[in-house]
Amino acid sequence: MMSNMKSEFQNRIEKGLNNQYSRQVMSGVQDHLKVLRHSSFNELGHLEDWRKRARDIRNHTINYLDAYLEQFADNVVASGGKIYFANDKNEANHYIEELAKSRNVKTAVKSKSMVTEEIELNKKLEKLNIDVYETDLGEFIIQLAEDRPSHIIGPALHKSKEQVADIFSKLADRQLEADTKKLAYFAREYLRDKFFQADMGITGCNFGVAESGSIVLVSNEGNARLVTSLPKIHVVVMGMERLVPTWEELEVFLTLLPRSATGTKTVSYITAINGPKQLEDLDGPEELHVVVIDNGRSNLLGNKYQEALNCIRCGNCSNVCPVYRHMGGHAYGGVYNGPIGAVISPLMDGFEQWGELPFASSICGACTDACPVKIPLHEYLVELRSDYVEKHNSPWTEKMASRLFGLATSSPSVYRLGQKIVKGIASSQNDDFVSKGMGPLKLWTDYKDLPSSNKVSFRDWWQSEKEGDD
Amino acid sequence: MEGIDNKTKFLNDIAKSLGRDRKTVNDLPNRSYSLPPKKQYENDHEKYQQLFKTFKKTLIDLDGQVIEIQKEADLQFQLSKQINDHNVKQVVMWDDPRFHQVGLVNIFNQQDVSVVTWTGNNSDHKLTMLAEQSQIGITWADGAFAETGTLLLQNGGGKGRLVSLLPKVHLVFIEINQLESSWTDAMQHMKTFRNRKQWPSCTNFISGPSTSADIQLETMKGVHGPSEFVVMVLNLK
Repeated sequence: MMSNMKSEFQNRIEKGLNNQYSRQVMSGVQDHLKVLRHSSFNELGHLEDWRKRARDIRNHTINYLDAYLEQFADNVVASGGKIYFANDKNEANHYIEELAKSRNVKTAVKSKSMVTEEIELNKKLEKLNIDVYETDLGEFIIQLAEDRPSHIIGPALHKSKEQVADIFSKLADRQLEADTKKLAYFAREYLRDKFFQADMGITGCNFGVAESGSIVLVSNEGNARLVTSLPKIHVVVMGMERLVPTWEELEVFLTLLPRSATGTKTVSYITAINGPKQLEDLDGPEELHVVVIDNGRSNLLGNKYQEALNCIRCGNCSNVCPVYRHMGGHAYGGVYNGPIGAVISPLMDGFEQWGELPFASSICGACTDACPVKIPLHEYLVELRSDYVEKHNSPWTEKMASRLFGLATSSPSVYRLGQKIVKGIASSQNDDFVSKGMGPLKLWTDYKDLPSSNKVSFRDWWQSEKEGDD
Repeated sequence: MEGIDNKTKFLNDIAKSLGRDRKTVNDLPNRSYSLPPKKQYENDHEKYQQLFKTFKKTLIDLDGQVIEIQKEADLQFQLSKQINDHNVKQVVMWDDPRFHQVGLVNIFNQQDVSVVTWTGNNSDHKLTMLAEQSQIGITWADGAFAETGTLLLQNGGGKGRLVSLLPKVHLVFIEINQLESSWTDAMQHMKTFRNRKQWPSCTNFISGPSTSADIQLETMKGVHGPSEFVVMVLNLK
């Protein structure tokens, strides 16, 4: 029954592998960013020192997260903002829904935020008949296409400009040319009205500075600035681990994040928000609400996986991952894709749904080498595989394989027979590699070639050597 | 404290997960992180010339424009060029007396360009709409950092955040001796607020025009914010 049934994950992988356009684009993105990144890090110099410093700061911050969150919260309130601590997505969404209802919000504009994807906030607000607009160009495309982001930094990179033109044309009710500048101009004009209409602006938070209660947003398009300047209410949704202690420490991350994410020295806009507008200000929101969310993050605290909370969401692990390169971001299935997604999704949201993700890795270590905060990603992936097999139901094939191996090695005659059978299954191929295995070999050869077994087994060779000696 | 919900239990749970009792920032060990040594200069002249060179190269690489103004005639010429290039009818500027001192307002008046100053009352969003209708938004940076081509704008009161955001061109002024080298210096600016315990409601570090590469990695300017970012560095003799 099980033998022919592929898991949802396997189906997603197959879809990714069969999407030639996406594979071509993702390879291009990886190669393009590699060149830029190399140049920007070379110019910076002392890369290992920067990475170690970043790791030390993140380790320290997470080790004392309760203390820094308290300081941060006190400073948000001192600046005139409100802060709410949500244990899970239901609590976070409920707070924002109640806020929207009490302020009679009709239109909300959002800037790019992974954490609001994680809690599926848009769906909740849309149920209240609130028009929610993603304003980051990539996210806007994804929202209109009812698709999911395929990359942390470039959510719509899997769409061609022809596809984007079709998506925008439906909205415009006229055919738009597949010209990048014209498409961007259309998005600007369309969304400009929404910014002016909106009663609520929603952002994530790249970094929260504990000593000042500042919300720091890193962006290139300027939409995050509009979202935090025009609507009357600004809602920030942030993972509880997003903090740095002081502005001095923020410098390290402002140095590393753009270089790791896009291979550039910096971004167009780094915006720090402190509370709502002050008395003398003539622009800015009247209310600031900061929702700090756990939603499974505390599962990583105080154990061997804690350093995964050090992630600054640069996406660089995806940018160097050979598995991501081929199967693409959608195959991961969750909000966080690439190696970091394969680590944090099962830990935050459970092995039942995400337990297979750590197996989608070649364990080459490229992700660990690329991580600006030195998260031991590939080591975590190995540990997670081990945890998965120990604590959860391992795949039946794995159980069957280990049972067969036990049986086969229990007696020399059975072992000899087993060797012949395996050789038989694989012998129909002429090459040094088996590309299309049958039976249990099929699960392997569906995704990669298996080296053919030697024509002479060790046992046969040993026997012939012995006979020769005689 | 008012305005904080669920805090105690949430933070207690974190401490428990970390396997210890609750801590506050006063209980924490001292931290020391070394940063790379700063570049030393022979004298101020060499320092600002070097910083200007780096700043200009970096910002041009980021698609910004850098114009050095050495005499009043340069300012007149460069502003006229901006007015012609962008068919400017109206500009919006921060409420800053330095714009009058350098003769900026006079130059615009002479060329029949309306000048909106970010001051007064905006409860009816009239100022916001005037900024939206303006072709150029003009600000005076609070700091400039050469290594990343970054301008620091601390918004508040007459220094509106929308002035540098809504018009298609953002024109920002600095004096050459405002130039510093890096993020380390930028962070020192932020630290000055630490003692006052009052931080500006909005701070922007700007390093170029609004940019996106979300469609097929092709770079586009002005997708939401200004498509042109022009820095005039005053080095008046």
